[in-house]
Amino acid sequence: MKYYVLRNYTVENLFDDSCSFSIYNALNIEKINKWDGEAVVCFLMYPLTGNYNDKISAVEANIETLKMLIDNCTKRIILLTMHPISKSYHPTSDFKLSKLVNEYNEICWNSSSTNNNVICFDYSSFLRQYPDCLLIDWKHFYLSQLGLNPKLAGDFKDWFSAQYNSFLSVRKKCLVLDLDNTLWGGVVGEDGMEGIKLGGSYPGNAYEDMQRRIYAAYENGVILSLCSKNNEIDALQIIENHPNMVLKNEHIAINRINWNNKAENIQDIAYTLNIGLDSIVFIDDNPSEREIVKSLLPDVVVPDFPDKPYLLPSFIEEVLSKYFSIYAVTKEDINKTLQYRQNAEREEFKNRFTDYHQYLKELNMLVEMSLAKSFDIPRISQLTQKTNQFNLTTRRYSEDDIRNMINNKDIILCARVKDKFGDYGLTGLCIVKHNGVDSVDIDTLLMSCRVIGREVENEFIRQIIQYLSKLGYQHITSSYFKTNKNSLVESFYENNGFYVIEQNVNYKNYELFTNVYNTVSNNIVEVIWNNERQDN
Amino acid sequence: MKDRIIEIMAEVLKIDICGINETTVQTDVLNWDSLAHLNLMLKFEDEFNISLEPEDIGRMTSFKMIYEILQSYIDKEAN
Repeated sequence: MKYYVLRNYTVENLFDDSCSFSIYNALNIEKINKWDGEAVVCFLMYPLTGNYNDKISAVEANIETLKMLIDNCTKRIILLTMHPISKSYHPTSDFKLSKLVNEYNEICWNSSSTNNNVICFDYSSFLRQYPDCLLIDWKHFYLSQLGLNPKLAGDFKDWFSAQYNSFLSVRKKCLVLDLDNTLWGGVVGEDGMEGIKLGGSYPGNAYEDMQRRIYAAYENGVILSLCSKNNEIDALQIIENHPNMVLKNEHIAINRINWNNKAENIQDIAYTLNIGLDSIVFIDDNPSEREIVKSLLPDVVVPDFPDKPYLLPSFIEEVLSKYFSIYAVTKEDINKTLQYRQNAEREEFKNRFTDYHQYLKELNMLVEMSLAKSFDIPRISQLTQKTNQFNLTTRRYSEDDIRNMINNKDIILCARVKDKFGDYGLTGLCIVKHNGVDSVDIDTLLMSCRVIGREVENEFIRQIIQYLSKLGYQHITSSYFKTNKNSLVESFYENNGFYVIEQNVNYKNYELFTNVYNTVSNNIVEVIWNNERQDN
Repeated sequence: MKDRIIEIMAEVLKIDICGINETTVQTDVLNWDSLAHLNLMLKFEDEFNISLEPEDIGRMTSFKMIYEILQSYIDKEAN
C-alpha cells in the first residue's frame, strides 16, 4: 500500500518503502493533494520531549495541523488517534493535557463519522497490547527520533494492515459453531435441559457471555451456522426454550445437527450458502473434530479451543477481531443472515422441481436496472472490493474512484435483484468507459454470488448491451482477467455473443458489434428500468 | 560473522552483495544515509541480540568499524 505519512517523529521503519513522509510536523497541503498514492496517513504521536507545558503547546499545534488537513485534503485520510505514552511532572489535579489529547481524538472520531473520506484507526488498540516500558526505546528516540520502540515495528505493520483490511471488509463470512461444551457446558443428550450449564453462576455465565459476544457478530453481518453431533430435536429444544440461550433459531442461517461427519456438514453448509470454504471459521471444543475438519478441509479456519470455560469470552473476541473485523456496517451486511437463510430455503425449494427451467420461472425473479446514484456509491465500492467469483476484471475501487468516474461521465449500471424469497439489493454492477466516439469498454462487470446461476447474469449482460446499443454505441470491448477465484466466468463473454480478439493464459480481450448482436431473452427474469439520470 | 555482516549491509543498503567488502566506508555507498544507518543498527541489534551504545552507533561508519565494534559486544556477552 502506498501512503503519504504526516508525522511528528521518525516512523519510516513502521511503513513500507513505497511510502512518502512529511517533514517533521510540517503540513504541505498542496504537495499532499498533488501526490498520487493510496491515502494520507496522519500519524501525529503524543509528544515525547519537553515538560508538561511544552507538551501542551505541542498537542495544541497538532490539533491545528489535524484540522487543517481534514479541511483541505482531497485524498482519503487515515487518522491515528493519540495516546499518552510517557510521564510529565505536573499537579495531579490538572487535566489540561489529557483534555487536549481528548480533543484531538474527538476530532478524529467525529470527522471519520461525518466524512466518507476519513477513516480513523484507534492507535490505543495497538499500544494496549504492551506494557508502557516497552513502548519507547529512549536510546533510539534521542538518537533518531523513533516514536515507537523499533522492536514493535513488525507488529505495528501487521496491526496497520489488519486495520486497513477491516476497512476494505476483507473478512470471513460464516462462523460455524458446535453446541455441547461450546455454546453451553455439558452434553444435551446426557444432561438434558436442566443439566446443561448456561447462564447463572460459573461456568454457565462464561458460556452465556460468549454467546452475547457472538450475537454482536451476528448483528454486524457475520453468518452463524450450527454443526453439532446431536439429535436435532433435543438440540433445537434447548435453542428454542432455554431461558439463557442468547442465540436463537432466527439468528442461525443454517443448521447441520446430525450424526454425519463434520467435514461433510461444513461442505454442505458452504454449498448451501454459496460461499467458499475459505470464508468459514469453525469453533468446536472437541480436538478430534477440529483435526478432522483441518485435515479434510484445509481452507476452513479452525482455531484452538480454550480448555477452561472462563477463557471463552476472551477467546471468541480474539477470533472475531482476527477473522471478522469490519470498519463500518452497511445495510447489506445486516440483512445478510436473512438473505442466506432465504438462500437455504431456495435450495430446498429447488429440490422439489425436476425441471430447472420451470423452477427458475417459479422463482419470480425481478431485476431492476438503473444508473448509479450518489447514495449507491458506498455499496458500489464495496462490491468492487468484495466480489471475487463473478468478477471479470477484479478491479478494486474506492468510493472516491467511483465518484470520479461519475463526474467523468463513465456509465455505471446497477442491478437490484429480487425473487419470491426476498430482496438481495444492489448485487450487479457494470462500469463502462468511453473508448471513442461510438465505442465503449466494459471496465468492470460483476455480480454477487448470491444471485448468479439463475440466468440473472445472462439477462444482465443482455440488458447492458441493449442499453449501450440504444445510446448509439456500435462497438463494445471487454476483458477477462484470470484470478485464482474467477474461473467461473472464464467463458462468460463468449457465451454471451462476444468474440475473442486476443488472449493468453492470464487474460482475454473481446469485442462485440451491436448491429450484429442478436439474442432472445428466455423470459425467466423480469426486467424493469429505472430511468432516472445518473447523479453528477 | 564477517559474511553475515556483509549480507546484512547488502540487504539493508539495498545493493548487491559484491558491492560490499572489508574496505567499504559509508561515504562510498550512496544509499547509506542516516535512515539506512538507523535501519542497519536496528538490524544488528536484532540479529546479534545486543544493545549498541549511541557513541558506538556514531562510529560504525565503515565495514571495519562495524566488525570491530560488533565483535567487542559479542566478546563482552561471552565473558
